[in-house]
Amino acid sequence: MRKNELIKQLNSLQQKIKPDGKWLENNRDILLSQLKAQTNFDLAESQRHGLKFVKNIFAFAYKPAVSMAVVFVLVFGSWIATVSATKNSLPGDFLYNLKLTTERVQVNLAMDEEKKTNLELEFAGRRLQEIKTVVANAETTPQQKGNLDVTLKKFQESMVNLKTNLAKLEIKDKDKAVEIASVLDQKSQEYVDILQDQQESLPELAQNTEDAINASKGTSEKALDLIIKEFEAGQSNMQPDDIINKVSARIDDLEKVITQAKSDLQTININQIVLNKQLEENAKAKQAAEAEAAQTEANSAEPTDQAAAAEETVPADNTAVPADNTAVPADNSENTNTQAETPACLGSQCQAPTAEVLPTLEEIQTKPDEAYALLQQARTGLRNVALGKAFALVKQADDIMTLVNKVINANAKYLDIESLLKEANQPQAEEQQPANNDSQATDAQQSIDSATAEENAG
Amino acid sequence: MTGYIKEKYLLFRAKNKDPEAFSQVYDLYAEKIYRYIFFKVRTQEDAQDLTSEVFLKTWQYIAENSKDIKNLNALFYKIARNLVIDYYRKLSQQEVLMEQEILEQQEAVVSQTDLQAVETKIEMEKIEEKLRELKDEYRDVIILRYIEQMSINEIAQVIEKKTGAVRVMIFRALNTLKDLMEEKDQ
Repeated sequence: MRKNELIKQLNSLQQKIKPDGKWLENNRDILLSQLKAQTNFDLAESQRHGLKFVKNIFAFAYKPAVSMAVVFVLVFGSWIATVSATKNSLPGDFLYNLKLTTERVQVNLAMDEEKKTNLELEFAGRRLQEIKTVVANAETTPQQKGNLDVTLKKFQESMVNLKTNLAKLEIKDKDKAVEIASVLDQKSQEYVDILQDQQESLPELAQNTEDAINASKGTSEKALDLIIKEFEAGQSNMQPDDIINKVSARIDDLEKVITQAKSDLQTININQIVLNKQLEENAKAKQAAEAEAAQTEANSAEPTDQAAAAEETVPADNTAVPADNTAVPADNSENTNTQAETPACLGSQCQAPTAEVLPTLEEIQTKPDEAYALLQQARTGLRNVALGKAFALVKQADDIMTLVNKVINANAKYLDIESLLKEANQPQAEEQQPANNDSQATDAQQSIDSATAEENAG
Repeated sequence: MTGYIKEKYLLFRAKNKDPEAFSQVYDLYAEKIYRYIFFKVRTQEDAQDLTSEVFLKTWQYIAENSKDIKNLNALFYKIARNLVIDYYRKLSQQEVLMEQEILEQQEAVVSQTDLQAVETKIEMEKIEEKLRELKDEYRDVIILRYIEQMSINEIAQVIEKKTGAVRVMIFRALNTLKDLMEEKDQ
């Protein structure tokens, strides 16, 4: 056989070996729909993996490709449709969880830390957007607002993940880590601002919001920490001015927080004095009234009736047994950290009754000034480009102010003197105690009742 | 529009994430790529699956890479070649279990192709058969050079070798194939 003949034969193979025309067309349609889906939803990454995944399932089956194509269309078609539908879903929606899951899959499939970080940042941003949308919508029901707890939690998770990713990246690729940390620092600061804006609209989720803010702060702190560390180790090409600006922006923010906290504390102090005066007067007036009521009560009521008596009789009896009554709620307030609504605070020696975890208002009076002093030291540090030291001081001041604000928030009701006085001037409302207090009072009363019954029997 | 300019135009559109444009690219290349893979894998189904994967991969490559693509043809074959390598790598892990099944399947495919081309000479089937007996790199260059009629330059890009090496390889591959054919004749 001559080579020329062979080549001729080979050439003719081009005409002979052809894919099945039907398959060719079908596959073209499938490809087109897949590509469209990819461009529309920019899920290239996860789809490639999804494709492999489906393939792996069928790898053993050796099904004819046409049937596999059908499977592709079914699986991807419905999947894409669902994902697109989830995109605008809000917390509480039927598809919201699917949205969250899809996002998680995307993050998990991302190849490197940088991509993971970008996705995670984007998703954290989406969570905040969702919160904003729900809060801003006038038709939002309290229940819908309640659903935001999931959103806040997810946001928090994202921020924590970002922090861990950064730590991982720090080991692998320092330059990249610094680059990302810079973005991360800025973004998480933005997120803190957004959350603080929304905080007031979400009183029911105060704790969740607080946690989310703290997670965000933690991430931004970690990021700036890393930037400074790398800079001081001489391994970063960031300009010192950039870092100084970042730190001093924080100092500025904290100074604002301090000013606000100081004025809040002052208001609280003044309001407490006013309130106590008012309460003292009220208490005197009431004591007189109640002594009278107790008198008539003792005359008329049977012991058994007393236990089931209406609300009016309960407060009356409370004062009738003053020793027991004041002792019980006072203990209670210390153990459970209930706010200053307990009778323990009715006297002139009113103290913010907080549990051991939180310092009292008195204890934090000087804290803002301490924090301020730390910030001034930090500023000096910045001038000397002692960035690490300066940032440590800022963090310290930040911790102090977080605590101070916690105490202020716990006593926030003292900030509004009008409603306090209104409350104080409504004796009935004022007497309404937490449920367990009430029951304790009744318990105490019942024991007294039974004691008297025994005495009577004896 | 000449083929070359049309291709450049389509590529440009595909780069801007235009799926329609890429589906036209598919029309231009699907047959070729299928054929190339067909000679390298064991079953028709695998060839079909791998072909669709080649197009997805290429699309992603075009979309994700900011670099200018100089030769789309070469890019396609390169991606196809790598996917076939992956395919065999994966297969070798399942080899022991599947061997028997695949052989059976292959017979079925061969008989199917018989039916599709009743008029084709017996000689032709022999060449197809012999082609499969060649070692991988010989088969590659034979397919690319004589079936797809690509230039030496393009082949060099696909298999990532120098043109001189490609020339030598084609020469040797053709000789080997010729020997195989004659061996059977005698």
